[in-house]
Amino acid sequence: MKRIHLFLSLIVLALLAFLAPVSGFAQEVDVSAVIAAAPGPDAFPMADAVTLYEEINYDIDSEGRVSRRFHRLQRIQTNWGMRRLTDLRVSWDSGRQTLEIPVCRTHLPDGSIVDTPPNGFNEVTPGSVSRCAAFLDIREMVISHVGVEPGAVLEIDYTVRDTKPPVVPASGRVFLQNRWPTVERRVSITTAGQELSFTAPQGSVQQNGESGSVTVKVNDLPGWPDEANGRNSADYLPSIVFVLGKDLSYLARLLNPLCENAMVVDDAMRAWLAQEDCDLETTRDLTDEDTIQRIAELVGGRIRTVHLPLGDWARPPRPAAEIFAGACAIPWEKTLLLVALLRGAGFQPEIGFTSDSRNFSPDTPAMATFADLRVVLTLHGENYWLAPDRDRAWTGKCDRSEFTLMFLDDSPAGYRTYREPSAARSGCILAAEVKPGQDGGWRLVLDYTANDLLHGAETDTEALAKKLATEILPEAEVTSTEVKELSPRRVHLRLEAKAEVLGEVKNGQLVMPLPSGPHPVSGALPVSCRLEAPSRNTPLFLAGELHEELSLRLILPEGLSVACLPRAFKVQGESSYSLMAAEEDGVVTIERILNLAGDAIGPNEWPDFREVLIAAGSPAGAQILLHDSREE
Amino acid sequence: MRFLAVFLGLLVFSAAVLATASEPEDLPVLIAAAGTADDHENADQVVVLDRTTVEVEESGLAHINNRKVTKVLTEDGARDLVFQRFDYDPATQDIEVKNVVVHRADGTSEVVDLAGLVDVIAPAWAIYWGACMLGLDLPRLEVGDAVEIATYRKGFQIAYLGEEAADESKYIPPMRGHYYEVVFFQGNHPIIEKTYTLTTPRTMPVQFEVYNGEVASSHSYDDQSFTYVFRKENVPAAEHEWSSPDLSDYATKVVLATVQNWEEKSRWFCEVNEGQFDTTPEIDAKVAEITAGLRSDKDKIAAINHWVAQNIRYCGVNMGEGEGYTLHPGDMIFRERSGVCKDIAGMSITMLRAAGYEVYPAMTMAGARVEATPADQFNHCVVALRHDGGDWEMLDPTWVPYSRFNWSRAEGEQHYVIGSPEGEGLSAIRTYTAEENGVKMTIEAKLDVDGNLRGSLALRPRGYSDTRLRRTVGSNPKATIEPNLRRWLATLAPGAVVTEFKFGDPTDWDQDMTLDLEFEVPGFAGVGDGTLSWRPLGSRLVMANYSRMFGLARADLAEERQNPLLIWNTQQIEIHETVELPRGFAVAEAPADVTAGSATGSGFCDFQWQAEGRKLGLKGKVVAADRTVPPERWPDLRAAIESFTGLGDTWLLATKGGRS
Repeated sequence: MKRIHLFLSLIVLALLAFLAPVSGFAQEVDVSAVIAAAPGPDAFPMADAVTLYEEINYDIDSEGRVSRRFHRLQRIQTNWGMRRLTDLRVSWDSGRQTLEIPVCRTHLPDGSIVDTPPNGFNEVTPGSVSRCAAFLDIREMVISHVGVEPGAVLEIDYTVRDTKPPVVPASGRVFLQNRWPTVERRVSITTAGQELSFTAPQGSVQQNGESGSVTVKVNDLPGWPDEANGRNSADYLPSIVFVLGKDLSYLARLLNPLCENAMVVDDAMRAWLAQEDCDLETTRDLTDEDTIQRIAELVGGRIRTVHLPLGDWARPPRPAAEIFAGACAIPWEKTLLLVALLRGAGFQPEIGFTSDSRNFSPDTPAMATFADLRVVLTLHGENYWLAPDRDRAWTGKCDRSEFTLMFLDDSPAGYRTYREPSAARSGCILAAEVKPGQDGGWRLVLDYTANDLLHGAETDTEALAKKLATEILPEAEVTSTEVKELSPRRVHLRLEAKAEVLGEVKNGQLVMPLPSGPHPVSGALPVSCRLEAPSRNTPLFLAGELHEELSLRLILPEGLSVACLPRAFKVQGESSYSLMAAEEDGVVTIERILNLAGDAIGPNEWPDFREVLIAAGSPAGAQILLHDSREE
Repeated sequence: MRFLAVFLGLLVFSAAVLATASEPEDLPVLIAAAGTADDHENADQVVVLDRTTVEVEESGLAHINNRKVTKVLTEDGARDLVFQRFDYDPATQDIEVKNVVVHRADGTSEVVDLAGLVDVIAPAWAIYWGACMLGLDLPRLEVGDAVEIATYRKGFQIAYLGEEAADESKYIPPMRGHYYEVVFFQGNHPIIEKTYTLTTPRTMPVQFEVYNGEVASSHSYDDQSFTYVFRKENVPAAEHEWSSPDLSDYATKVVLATVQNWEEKSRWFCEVNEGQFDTTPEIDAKVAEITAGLRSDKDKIAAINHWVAQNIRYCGVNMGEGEGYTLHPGDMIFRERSGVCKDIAGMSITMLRAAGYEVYPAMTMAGARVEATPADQFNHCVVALRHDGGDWEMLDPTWVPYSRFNWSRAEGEQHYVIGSPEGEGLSAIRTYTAEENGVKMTIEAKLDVDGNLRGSLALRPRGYSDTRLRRTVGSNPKATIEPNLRRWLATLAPGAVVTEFKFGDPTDWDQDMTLDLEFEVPGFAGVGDGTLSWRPLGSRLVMANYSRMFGLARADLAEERQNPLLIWNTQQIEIHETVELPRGFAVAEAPADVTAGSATGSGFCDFQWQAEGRKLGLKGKVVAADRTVPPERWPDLRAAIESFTGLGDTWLLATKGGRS
């Protein structure tokens, strides 16, 4: 059952409750009235700041030039807020934009107003572009509010105005909710009568009667909880997406020549291909796979990736030859260089623009809804994938499962879309037997199978065998390894190992931790899946179903006895965990199975899901404690 | 006369080395001889030569020419060198990039077109004084290539706008007629040869000293000038180790100055800042409000200093003339409620003077020594208050937001120079003992037969540990405070629950900060057939480094260290932990006590177990005794941390009816 759909529906319903009719907002807001009418700090006890009012206007002229105006009133409620939220950074491209800041002032609790003096506006270079001369004309203004104390309201009103039309149609994604509670937020997009496509949360939109314009207003939104969930913010935060243009074909037909013109292979690139033995014209000794890797290493590893503070689509790509000669580039440029070199080496790669959310809508063909790029080519019936910031190509599946990729092609539409389904069941099955050897040491026989997320695409089976063996016997020496299957998606191996000792004896006890394999389930969970949180406000998304199984048999010699076995668990639900441990006649057997259902874990399902993970992570089930009386 | 002794001592050593300095060079040969990555372990680039000549005018204005050749050893090195950045402060410096050449590994060379230089304001965070940079993309580099760069600079490095209108006046240092510098002969990359040549007028003799190693030097003169030459060859890159102090504490360097002594510097710093501390009626009113009802000087001083610490945020904007070394006027800071350390100090001075105290600014160096040679070696500004008896009390409002002290306990042993009318020498803050920065953790817990744990925990910190706990509450977003506490307890087991918690008031400067909490940990202990097994709680909770209260929890326990370890604050962590077993259970075997390190060394760990009936107690402490740990004292501290960590991995076993 797709519970996430239910959850998203609830989000929309909840959002509707906050929506209010809007009558267009040509009039300026009465700042004093907004401040006076705002609920007091007690209404937001956990918030360091509250947005009392925010208005965002995108005004697009007949040439496609955009003026973006932001007007915000934000109340600072704590000392932390006073220190951390009072310097605003606004970026602009000085080659094609201007920045105007008509208002920057602090409304103090006593009613007095302190305007920021001229030295409170400080132009700097954005840190992200500071090591690339080509982007040093992108500027950043640090705007410092002065006189701030808790209770003060910061007012900022600024406009970033295009002086030249953009190379791709004007577009944007504006989030309607953020970290801080919001009393009122308005967003409007106005064009000079052009055709405007947009998507926005249902019920938030009111056309103001003119063609090519849209307005959105939301009220009394809570701050979005700072809670990692394995998804991009575009997947779950309400936002409005807009673009001048009506379909993806229109966008693809603009992008195709832009990319093609940049992908010319020059003499220096040809010389490099020849030097690296990648040249199509010569008989190369390198295999096709090695050639692809060599190109991935150059582009992914040698050319630094720069992310523009204005977004990676803010500038058209420079020619591939210029990127090749330099040392840093935006992902788009690196991708075009990848493709140019791969073409130069005789391959036929394709460029895919990947969406920034799983909810990609072809009805709003906005560059703002694309986040990254991938390159794919087919070789010997297998897909080879490359990413602009990775120095290795990989085979099989695209890493951006569930995201939409728009591949440019020469079809009449100019593109095709592709969406990799989410990972299927990823599993790891580890069966081991540990017993005393004839020479007084210990012997281990282990069978291991893992696929997809719990495999890790390891190719060094020797290292993998060592890792597996030493997880059980810390000083193990692997004596034989039989690789039964090895592919980027699956590994199956059987090994034998020996060790002098089972483990370190401390205070007459020997602790034998239970193994989990080199890629345990915990590593496949979203990075900040915090089990200590008893409740969640947002769903937790998993990359796919996860299954981990351990079967361990430990044969004890004379003098070594069980002091404490792992605690038995059985937690059953959509996800489940069970652990059974037993000892009979000096033979310890452990059976442990963890099964996590894929898809999304909604806030209501979180307590049960959490219980499974808590049991699986319990220290009481993590080791066998043995009593060593052999030296007594 | 110290410089003369040093000079004579090094003269013989230097003669042979310096003799080669003026010989014509064959750059391709030098580049080839600089070796490859195999010759320089872990290095991505090597400095083939780095030659600087400085000519100082009577006014102190310096003309600095530098020529540097760096060879690419690895692809990472190529990526780093391919963008060149030249920082400068337009208010006090002029820079010209004269020449950039790429010498290819095949012997060819490529002159880089300097039209590609981009001049912009540099990236900045928190300090916005208009520092600039020139940026230049080089053509793609390969391993074996070398980059040769020649620059000319004029001026000095802290912001200053001169009083005179003459063209070059802004480049003259604020301490007119003087020159000082700290010249490093060791850095992040190996160096084949570095030479620094300084020429000063005959009216400006230089005193210098070499620290942290040896540098060849020579001194000559003619009718017009003195010339000092310093040179060093084949210098390995400085070793990077976990939590090293500033490079200046251990890299080879020459500290040189024309200033005669610290007293002269002190008087200058006092004079140049007088006039910045005038009060206003608004400031007077605020001082009266802050000190209302307080009787003792101690209370009034603390109240003013804490008000400044809590209310002036760290953000430095440019005030124009005098920026960089002059404290912003008190009324400006009071109005803007922001500034950098010198301005925050200035606010304290203004308000304390308004309250009737004798107060001056002082210069200090956070994170490194200040050497005896009176060159500018400071990175921080603080406050010095002279009591009626003449004793000085140091205050640092920048470092004490959410601290109950006027001077941070992380700033022990720090050197400083007070700017007073009489002139003060170089002084140092006293050492703060580990006990003064201590924290006591008391845990009382009960295990049930199902292995569930329930108990209470109390933290009673002092000194810098107290500050860290206060900041957990005051210097974090409100919504993170409880989750952070839960996350900490989850160190014991993922299902741990904080059932109640209470912090002391982080702004009550009269009381030590406290934390009391109640917790439950379902499934804490392993349950066997009549057995329970678990690990101690305290050491694991300490090593989880809640609130960054135990910085050594993240220590890299390298067997040996080449350089000192700076832990900022000494610390003693005391644990009293008692776990009560279920009825009918007793500890199978009390584990061995843990002792490591040395009570007279840099650290020790001493814990004793005590089994009494159903209760198993653990008492003891781990101590980090040195703020800066010299390499030879590192083994004691390392042993203490290692044993303390191991304590948390000790498995305890209880059996029904007693010993198994």
